[in-house]
Amino acid sequence: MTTLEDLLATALLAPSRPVPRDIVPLRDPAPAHQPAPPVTTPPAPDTSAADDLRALCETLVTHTPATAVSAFVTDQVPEPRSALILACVLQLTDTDDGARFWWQYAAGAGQPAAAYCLYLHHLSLGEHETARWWHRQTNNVQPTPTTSHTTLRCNNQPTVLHHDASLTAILRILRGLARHVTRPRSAVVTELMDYMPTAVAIGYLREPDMELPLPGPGFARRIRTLLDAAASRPDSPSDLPARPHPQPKTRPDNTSCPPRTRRQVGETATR
Amino acid sequence: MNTSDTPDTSASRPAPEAAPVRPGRKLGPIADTVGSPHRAWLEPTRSSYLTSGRTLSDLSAHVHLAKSKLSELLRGVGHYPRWEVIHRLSTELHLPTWPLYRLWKGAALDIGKSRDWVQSSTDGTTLATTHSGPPMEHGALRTLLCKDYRRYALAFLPDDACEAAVEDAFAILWLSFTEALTSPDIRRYAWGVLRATVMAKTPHRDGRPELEAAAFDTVFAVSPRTSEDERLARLPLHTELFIAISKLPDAQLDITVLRHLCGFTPERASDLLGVPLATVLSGERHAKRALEDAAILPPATGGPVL
Repeated sequence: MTTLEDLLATALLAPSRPVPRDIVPLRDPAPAHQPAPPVTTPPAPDTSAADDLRALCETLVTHTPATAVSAFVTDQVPEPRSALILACVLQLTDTDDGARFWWQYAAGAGQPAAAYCLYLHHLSLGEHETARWWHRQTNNVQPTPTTSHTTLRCNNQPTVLHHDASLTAILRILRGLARHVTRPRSAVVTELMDYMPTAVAIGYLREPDMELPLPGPGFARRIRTLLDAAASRPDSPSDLPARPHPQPKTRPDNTSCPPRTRRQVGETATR
Repeated sequence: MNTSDTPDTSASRPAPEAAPVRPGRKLGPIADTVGSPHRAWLEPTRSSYLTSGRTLSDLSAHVHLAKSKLSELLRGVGHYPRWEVIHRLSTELHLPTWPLYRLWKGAALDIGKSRDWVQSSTDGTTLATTHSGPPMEHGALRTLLCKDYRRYALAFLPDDACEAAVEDAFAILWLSFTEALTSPDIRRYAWGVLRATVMAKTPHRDGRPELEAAAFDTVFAVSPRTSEDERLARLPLHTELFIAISKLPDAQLDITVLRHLCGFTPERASDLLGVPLATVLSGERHAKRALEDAAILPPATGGPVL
């Protein structure tokens, strides 16, 4: 019986064709009024999932305490929650090598936000089946009640909102909100973004067979050093301009009635 | 990230002072109607202008073209520009002339301009004397990659289109080499350029590149040691396989083509794509699962029931 492996083994193309595919020359020297036959061009890629992933990563990185990020199992392997955030930092750089595998590790260890990041990651690559699988995993990784309530207070008047509390719904709302909020990126995040791609690239050179990045024995120490250095100075925005959004909304300094949510929204709002 | 466990107050601080902007209206995007061959030289030219810090007014004075016409040129609208204008632009923006000319000419012929038009447009410019050769690193990259790039392109394109695609890719790379060098991984950047160039020349159906013609070009199909019966039996399966491969997501498609159609090792595929080996192996696993789910193979028939 022919297996897929058998088929692939005989799919090797000859390095040169004994018979050309088309004997008509590429450029037919026809007069200008005869246009070349149309070639259906590839469709423009849909970047909305990639944009959403970036926005979600910005939010997760901004709202996770540094103590969670500095937690490591060994000097090269972060704790699952730290791996989630380090993967998000990587995603914000121009090279996301290794992010997928840290998210997989974190999702396997019970971090539902990591499963959701993987959903968006695979969706952005056009890998719809894999994306759907990770979307189903998001609620399975850490089952939550399907409905819940949130109490808002304005001028000391409570208002109770009942809503869908599944994690996918919460993360979808978060990702929608993140699109419309512009926050300066903190200096520590910028420093991590400067350091991480090189560290991960070195890790893959050292251990090319390993999926999880293993950047070397000094990795945990370096991360902690960066975080400790940031903690000892005032948390100031980096020189990077805020991420552009079509309609940036910033909270005014004097807000008379800021709504306060009493319910912790999954991992992202834990302080 | 909160370095103390107190709420992040950075959002309440005023935004950093904005970088100085070019005066005047912002240059609009490239028109949607601009084809891939035209974009191939237009995008690096625009990028060069946008990073130069020069204004449209200043540039238009030096290239002797009205500001509105220059804006149209940089957006790809209006008449296809003559070479003498592009040549002046390349001088002002310090762009290498030779690859720009190659791509400009290719795009001109692609939209139906005659060779006479191209020739008359070129007359009077000093193309030959400005060909100073690519940067040394570009030459090194070409030496390392050209042959294998050609193998990839050959899966999708006939021979002469394949050669043109690879040459165009290296021309685009030359034109945007500063950007390539400052990118996180020059191999990945170069692969992106090659892929875009090959796919722009490959016919597509339902948004996916056509690959089934390659089923006739396998070693198995062309080898004299393959009997006619074996060839006829295997061809429909190969055609189905290649159609299924063409429907894979882009990253998995590339990995499968490089690994199984071109015969590269996972390490070489990793080098060409500019991604870690782990990504290649992971992509290959996902691709194989997708190909199995595509039900290319006939179902297994059960043996006799005792």
